[in-house]
Amino acid sequence: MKLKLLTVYLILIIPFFSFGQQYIIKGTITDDKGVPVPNARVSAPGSDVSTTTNETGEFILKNLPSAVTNLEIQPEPKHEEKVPETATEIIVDTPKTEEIVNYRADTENIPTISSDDEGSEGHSSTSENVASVLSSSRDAFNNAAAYNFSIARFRVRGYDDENLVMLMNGVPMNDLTTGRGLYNLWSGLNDVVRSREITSGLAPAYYSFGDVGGTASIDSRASHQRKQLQTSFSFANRTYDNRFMITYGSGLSKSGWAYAISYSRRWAQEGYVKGTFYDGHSYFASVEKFIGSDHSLALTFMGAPTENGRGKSSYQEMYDLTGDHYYNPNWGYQNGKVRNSSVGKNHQPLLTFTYQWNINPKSSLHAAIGYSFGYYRVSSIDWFNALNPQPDYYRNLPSFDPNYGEDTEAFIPYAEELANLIRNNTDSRQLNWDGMYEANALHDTVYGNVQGKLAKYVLQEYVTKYNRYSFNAYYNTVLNDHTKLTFGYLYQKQESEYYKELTDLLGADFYVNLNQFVDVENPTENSLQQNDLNNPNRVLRVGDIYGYHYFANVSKYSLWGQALFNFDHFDYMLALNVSSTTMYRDGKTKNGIFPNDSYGKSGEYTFPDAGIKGGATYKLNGRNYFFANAAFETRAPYFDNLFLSPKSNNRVANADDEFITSLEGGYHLKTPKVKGRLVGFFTQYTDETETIHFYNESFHTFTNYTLTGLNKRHEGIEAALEVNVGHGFTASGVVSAGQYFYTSRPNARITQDSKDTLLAANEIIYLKNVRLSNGPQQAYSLGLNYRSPRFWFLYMNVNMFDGIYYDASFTRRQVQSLDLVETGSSKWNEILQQKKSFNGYSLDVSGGWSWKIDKQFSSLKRPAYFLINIGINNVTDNQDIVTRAAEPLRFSFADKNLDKFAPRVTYAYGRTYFINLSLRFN
Amino acid sequence: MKKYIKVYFLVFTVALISVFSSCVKNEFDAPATANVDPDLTISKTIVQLQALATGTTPVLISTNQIIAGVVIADDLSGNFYKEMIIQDSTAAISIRLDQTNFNSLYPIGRRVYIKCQGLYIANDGSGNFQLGIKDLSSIGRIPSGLVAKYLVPGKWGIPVTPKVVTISALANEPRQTLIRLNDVQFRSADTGMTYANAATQQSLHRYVEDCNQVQVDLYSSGYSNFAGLSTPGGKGSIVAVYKQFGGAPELLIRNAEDVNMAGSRCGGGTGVSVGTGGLMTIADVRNVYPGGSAVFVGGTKIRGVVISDKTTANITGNNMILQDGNAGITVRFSAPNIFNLNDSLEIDLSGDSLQTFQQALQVNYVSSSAVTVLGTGMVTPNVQTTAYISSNLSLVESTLMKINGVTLSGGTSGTYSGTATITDGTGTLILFTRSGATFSGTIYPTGTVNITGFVSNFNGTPELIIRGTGDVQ
Repeated sequence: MKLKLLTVYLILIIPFFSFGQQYIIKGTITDDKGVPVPNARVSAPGSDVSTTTNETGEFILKNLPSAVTNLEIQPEPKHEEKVPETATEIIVDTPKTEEIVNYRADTENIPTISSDDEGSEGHSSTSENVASVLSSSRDAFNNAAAYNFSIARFRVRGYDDENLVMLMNGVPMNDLTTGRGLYNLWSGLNDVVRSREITSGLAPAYYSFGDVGGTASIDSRASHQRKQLQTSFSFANRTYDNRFMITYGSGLSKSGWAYAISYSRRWAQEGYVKGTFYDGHSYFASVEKFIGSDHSLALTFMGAPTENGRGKSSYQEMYDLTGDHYYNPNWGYQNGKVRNSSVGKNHQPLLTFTYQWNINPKSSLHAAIGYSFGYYRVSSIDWFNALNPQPDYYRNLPSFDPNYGEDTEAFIPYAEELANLIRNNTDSRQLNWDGMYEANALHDTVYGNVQGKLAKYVLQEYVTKYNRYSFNAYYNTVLNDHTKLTFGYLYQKQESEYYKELTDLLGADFYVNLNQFVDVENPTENSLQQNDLNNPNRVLRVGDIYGYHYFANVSKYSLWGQALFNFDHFDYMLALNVSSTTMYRDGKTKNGIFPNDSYGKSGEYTFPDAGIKGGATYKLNGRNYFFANAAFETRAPYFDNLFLSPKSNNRVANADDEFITSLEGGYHLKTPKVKGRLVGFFTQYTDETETIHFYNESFHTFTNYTLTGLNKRHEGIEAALEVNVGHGFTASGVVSAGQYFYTSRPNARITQDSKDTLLAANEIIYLKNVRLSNGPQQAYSLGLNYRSPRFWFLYMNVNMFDGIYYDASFTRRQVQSLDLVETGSSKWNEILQQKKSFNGYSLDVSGGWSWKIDKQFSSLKRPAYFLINIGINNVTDNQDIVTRAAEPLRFSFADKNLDKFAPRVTYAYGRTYFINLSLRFN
Repeated sequence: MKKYIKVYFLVFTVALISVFSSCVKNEFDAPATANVDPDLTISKTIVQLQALATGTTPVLISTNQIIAGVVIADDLSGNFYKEMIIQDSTAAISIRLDQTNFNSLYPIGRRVYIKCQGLYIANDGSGNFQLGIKDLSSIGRIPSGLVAKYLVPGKWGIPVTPKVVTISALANEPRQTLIRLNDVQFRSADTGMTYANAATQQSLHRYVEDCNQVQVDLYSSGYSNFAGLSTPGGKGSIVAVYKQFGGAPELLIRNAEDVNMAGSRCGGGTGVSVGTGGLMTIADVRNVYPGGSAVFVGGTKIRGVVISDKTTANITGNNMILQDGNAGITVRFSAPNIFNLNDSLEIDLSGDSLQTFQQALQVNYVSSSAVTVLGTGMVTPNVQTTAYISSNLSLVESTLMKINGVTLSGGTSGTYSGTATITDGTGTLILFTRSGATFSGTIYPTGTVNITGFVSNFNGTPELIIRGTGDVQ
């Protein structure tokens, strides 16, 4: 049995090569106690060079390209501390080789970006991805931010994705229409995206001007992949239950070729949340050719086709009734099987072509071309002249008295009866698929020249298709001993196509392309009802596009330059960026309500922007650093915020660029026993434009609020202290204490999709001093780590979260909402008071063991390792941490009854585990 | 150590197999939808259940009673809202439920079984029975989440045949049953009118009559999808739910297809549409009048100059006379006329009716908001003799005429009030003045005078109507 399996591995392992060595850099790797680290791998990113330290921690790095500014250090796998779901590398950001010896070979926790979509309701609807760690040097703060705080959807400094510039092999990876990071493109490819360079805040990067949240650059080129074969299998109870990964890196051949391939599969019949399945494959291939030692060409292709059943946040009432904070209204039984109505499908392959030219020992040029394409689809139920099928529709809940509370005494037994029904009967709280099929069988209808069963319910998919093109080039040169210059040019273009597709008629024969929200005053004149006047009264079958159909086209040019000055005790930085963003909408349907304003191209809107940042670092000595940075920039509005209602028309807000001021300053302490930092930050966003869309009960239609003059402030401190207490123990404490809030009263332009009538041109929204809802504004962590010389480790962290605010509703903060309410009365306060969730706490424990198992594979003559990592998050199974809660956007202006529409709440997972087994041949 | 590796390889092998064999299934079969009744035993007919209601106060049905009936009215059109009517062979009852678009599962023609225990029943005082939950002293709506507990759907596609009755005999029918009236029409004032006000979503009463002018109220919701449709002008049948409201019968249709009135009206006339949908001369309007009551096609307009004078009140308050070239017409407003003598107007006649009143052609129930004032005009009277007017009534009806060299006689004590006589060399003509006219008490001149006025057709007899004493010179 064992022999046979071994043969399998031999076949897979054959393509190993060795390569030659020429030029030399020497160094020593020690840990923070000064103990030499043997068998650590040292390599220079972007080159073919890597080596291993000897028994005394010394290494000789040969054939090194001249412009290397970083070294990558991987500890011997035996000592590897692998926290589940995290990467295992450190990139030391230092230009001088002799400093390397002072850095501890260690691991860095970079969270895997998950693509689960629980609770993506609500107007902020920011992506559910947790942003990456924003710093390269290993630090207790970054560990906590990336790993321990992620359960509460913590965001560093409260920033959204758009504040962090992300690159993959030099190709920009932020969506141009929304600014969101495109983490989903490489989900599951953990093995090959470990080589990262990250700068936090306003610190300079040599590959991008960056943004207020910093930059992250991932390098997955073949030469950056370890020369190894690694397979791993994981068990978990999170979004998915199982993960398999296999990755092979060839290393660089004598002829200058390197290649790497990776495949992974993640799946679950049912994830942590009931009714959510997961099925993801990921693939990756990269080939790189060095021409001489100065030129490198790399072609990389990756993708992650993923399907998953989604969860949805619900009301506290439903959580209480079901006794389940993970109640998911999206699914129901069909023929006795669980079927989820909200299925996400995502596949956006990415192709990158990267060229690197080390022109001379002082200069280098990088150029990258990127192309990504594909789709993102989310299904949901659509219905026409039919009963609302959502099981947690507020009118279906016991709290809703259909008779206006006139006879509460009589209503109590019915409410109790309904509550019992929901408590005890799964069918009464989940989707009724069989009922929808039955309704679809009942309505024989003649429509135009078609006769058949007219669907009352269908399954639709909201489809977005993407084409993203980009070209990025940057040139780095060392001018003299004190000065380094960088120049860059970036061009990005994105075409996003949006439409709805009918994907399942649920047993009926056809459906109609009519706008059900239109009030038809004159039934003989039904043009208003037409979703597309160019194809009126169209009969719909499976696969047809309907509803809306348009393209969002955005292109952007940027030109930037940066100068870094290094002196004995001071470093200075100055960077400039200019850019121009152009966008337009191209409508493919002629909407019945906006016939003159929906079909064809909108105007082209161009926004020129500029940014400047500068900073200084005072290096008191090798242990104490003081720094201060400042940035001022303008930012074009995003397409989705500029256009009032791109699903129905070409109209735009009278929007201007927003202006951003960001300041940061602080202190870093780096001693062998104690490391720490204390950083203050202040970022002010002025004149932001934001558009939200929601179904408005008062108007029986989708309503659009476009806010202009929206100001926000993010301010606070970050502190971390890590003390080596000896005997293998390290203790750490982390604090992120911020305040993120609105600082203006924006103007809302309120439009609706069912009528060409402006609801308000300049409605003031009273948002000043209202908090933002973007995760915990305060987070704290205490950690204790133990590392055994016998190749195992144990980590423990206690975390606390505070300042998790309900997302403020705009509708509630209008004058109209307070009409006839006495100022300062309890009702007044009830309407205006922003709710805060309870403080949350969690306990995380993780551990790992590794074995060197060369003997079992002695025939390979390669080092082989077997690793087990186990992580348990939220050990105490605290199911009361709110990750997101949103005040309802519907407001009952008539009776001002806040209980009528309840907030939707999402809870963090309770106790979860992740067990990873891997086998590695170097 | 080797033990662990064996474990690993075992796990890994299983993993590899499972990676390529496990598939996350997301294909689904369509459930079979059988058209059958539930296995429930009916314990009472609807009439028997109604007997439980003691009056208008809701009575709890505390025993396990099951009724069944076929849905005869659902909420597809919006004319019924959160109310379903079911009927069995004995009677009908209204179910009040807090669901919009319940028609998706309980459409017309589907049998519904109701497990009544726990619900309340009451008579609304007019003999309409309602089933629901208690809401103070009346019947409230069943909470949406509980509807499926009480209402069990059965077979669908059951034909519902309304009982044919007459308007006079309606009161004998069980309330809320589906009835059909044959040979009925909308009363003339209600033809070509919208069923309800779709713009303001106001409900409206229209009246349906038989050829003996026995009328019944047709009540339609402003939220219904047919609210903005015009009522037909012809005669035919109507299918509706019969309710009793405020001591009088009331009909509610389920949708616009319940009304089929394309035949000739009582006493002739097709009630068909007239008009071009654009601007017409009054002469053309007179020419296309088909008899009976006709309805103007949307967009039809006329222009003209007002030749009557509301200030002297010698014309019914809601009326005015409009002349365009050599032709004129009576315009009747739904409210008192606000336009002045010599106003030049354009009137949108969309949906208005064209009919005769005492044989004079008249546009009915114009709204002031349909009138645009273009400016001021002046109509030069057509100078003719009394003989000409008498023998050419259809040409001169509602136009301004002048007769020279006449003498006036008769009337009430020498005043204009009432019926006086105009005499010229060719014959005589009636000069009619309303007693309510501001000048009715004025003594008319006794000598030879010239007289100007518009011609009114009173049941085939021409009468001259002056606007004031200045018309006599």
